[in-house]
Amino acid sequence: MKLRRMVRWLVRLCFLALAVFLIMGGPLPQTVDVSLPWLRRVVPAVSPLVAFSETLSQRQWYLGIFWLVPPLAVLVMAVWRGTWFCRWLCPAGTSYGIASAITRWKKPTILLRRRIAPVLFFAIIFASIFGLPQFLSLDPLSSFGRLAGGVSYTAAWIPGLILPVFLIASLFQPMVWCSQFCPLGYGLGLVQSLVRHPRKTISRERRGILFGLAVGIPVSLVLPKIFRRKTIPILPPGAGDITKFSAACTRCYACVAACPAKIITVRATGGLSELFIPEIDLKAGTQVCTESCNACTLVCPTGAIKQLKLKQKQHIQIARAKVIRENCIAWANGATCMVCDEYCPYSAIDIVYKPEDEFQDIPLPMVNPGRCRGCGYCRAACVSPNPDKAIKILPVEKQKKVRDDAG
Amino acid sequence: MNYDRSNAGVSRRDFLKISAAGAAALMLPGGRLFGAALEDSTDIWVLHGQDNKALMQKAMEIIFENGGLGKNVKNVALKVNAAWTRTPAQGANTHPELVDVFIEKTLESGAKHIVVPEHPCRPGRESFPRSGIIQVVKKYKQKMVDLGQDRKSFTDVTLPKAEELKKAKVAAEFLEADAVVNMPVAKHHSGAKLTMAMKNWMGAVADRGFWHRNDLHQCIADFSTYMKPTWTVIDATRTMMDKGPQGPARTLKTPNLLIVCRDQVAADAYTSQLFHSSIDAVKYLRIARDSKIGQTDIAKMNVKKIEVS
Repeated sequence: MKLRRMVRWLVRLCFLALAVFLIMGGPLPQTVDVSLPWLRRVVPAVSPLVAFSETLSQRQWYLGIFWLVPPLAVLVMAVWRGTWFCRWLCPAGTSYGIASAITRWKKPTILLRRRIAPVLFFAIIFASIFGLPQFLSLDPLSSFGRLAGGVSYTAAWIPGLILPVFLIASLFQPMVWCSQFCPLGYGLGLVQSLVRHPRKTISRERRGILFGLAVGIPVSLVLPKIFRRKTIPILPPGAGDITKFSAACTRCYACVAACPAKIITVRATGGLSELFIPEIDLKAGTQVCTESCNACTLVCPTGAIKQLKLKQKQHIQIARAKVIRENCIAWANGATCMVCDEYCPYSAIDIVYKPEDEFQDIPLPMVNPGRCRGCGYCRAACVSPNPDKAIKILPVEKQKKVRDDAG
Repeated sequence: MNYDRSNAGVSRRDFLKISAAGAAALMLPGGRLFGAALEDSTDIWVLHGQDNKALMQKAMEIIFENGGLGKNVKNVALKVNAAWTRTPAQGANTHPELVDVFIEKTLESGAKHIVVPEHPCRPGRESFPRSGIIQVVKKYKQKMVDLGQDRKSFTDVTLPKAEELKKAKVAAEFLEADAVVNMPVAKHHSGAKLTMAMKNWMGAVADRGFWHRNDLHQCIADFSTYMKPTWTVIDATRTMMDKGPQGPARTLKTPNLLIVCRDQVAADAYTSQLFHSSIDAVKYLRIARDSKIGQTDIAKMNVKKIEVS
């Protein structure tokens, strides 16, 4: 018995270390000359709750065969062994387990007697049916992954606090998250008992089902309409529009961690359902969403950011550039510049001349909205002495596909 | 710097060091040095052929028949264009086959080190491999320097003959070499209208933004009063006629030409004919003509057209 416990702890610690390695996306040894952005996807993508709810709410199969295997394996194991995943593999569970081990030497303080996991679980399921898996950010694997991506952005601390807060709470009441809150753990246990005694289980859980209905449906219908801001953010390529994106995103911040340019940040404002979503910030004008990168689209475990091949990503308009003529050294000062056009990878800047410019010495930039992807190269390259630069990158309502032959 | 004509006993390296100290005007009779190309008829070789390697081999023959890179040249700096993450066929960068033959023949001639510094517009780790040039440089175990990453070699110099660009930070590799060869690609350029040899030097300086903010054309002309390569070889094997400098071009022509000249201004003036009927279309060439930076009158050039099969 003692040996079994030791083996279990050894396995758990190994998987915790592996999970840390994965959410950090490495570090891979320097000799490996490839970056593997999808490593960051693995931990949040293992959750069958995320896979199931996202498929429900998006009303489509967003998972490929490869990414279907891990959550399916966990689910199959749950049919057979219930919360086996929680006790052996879950990195969040292992973290809480370590904190809870400390309470072995003192009398636990009970913080919460009632188990609210059933309500959370059913609220997620019913909200997903209505298209908004709102409480999915409570998924423990997304909470765990959040530690890698979110820490640099203040807005991410609030969702990022779930794990630290419950680590502290575990010092008082052992495994308080896993026993009372975790919707994934509850779901895995439920699967097992549903398969064994379906009728009995449903009658036992009717309270949770009813509460879940009462919470989930109003939340999915009302929440998106509360405190919505007029300003919209620039979203990662493949995110579509803010309504779809904020509904599907579990705030695991794998994209935030994966972005090599560090332009994906966490949004601090927005409506209740849009809180803390990842957004692209090109205001600094030093970094760009380069045409040779599709990392964020490869790491998203939920399909909130659609998986895109590099070629597809290069044709997504995520924003649009606008020349501010007062700041532009060509428009305002008659300088020969066009650096914006030089650096534009998509030939989205057109040249015009003033009629009085006989030799056409002073080309003037105009953004071609049909070709612009909003990558920010023009803004980053702009040499205007004005600190605001002469190009603004404005968000678009809905990301659209740009044709190569446009304009 | 004109090696064949300047026997003043001042090596290129010394000259540049002196001019870096701002004393060039006192030490050297500038009129002779820079004016020489205008007095004689300027020799310019225009090679036509389908095979890039054969073209470049012929170009190297011409170079070595006409004084080569100079006496006892050990260190050669080559200025290519590898600024963009584009393939050789797209014509945004110098063709790697030309660089290949250049390095091969230059090493055969006795040079020990060839360095290829470039300040790219895209990250060098992307643009250098896509251009195909870094592979060629590595094949001969020579060095390509990404000046965007490795900025420590930028050295302050003063340009005594300049109007606008009186000071610049220039990559020391070009200042310290025994011979410098400029090997740009000719293509459309949205800002400068055309980029060939003179404008290629923007990839050797630290602050390109200054040029744009302070009369780009004047700065291009100014830098050519300072940096006079031993030879200039313009790659016009394929030319982007629009959407330059990055492309991809809507119209890509294949003139299949190499333009070889000691005077980069003459090389630019000649090559500009592929794009425009008159050099008046390109303001930095007008400035070069008016300030006599080099030969811009094609009638005064001794054009030698050679068919390479």
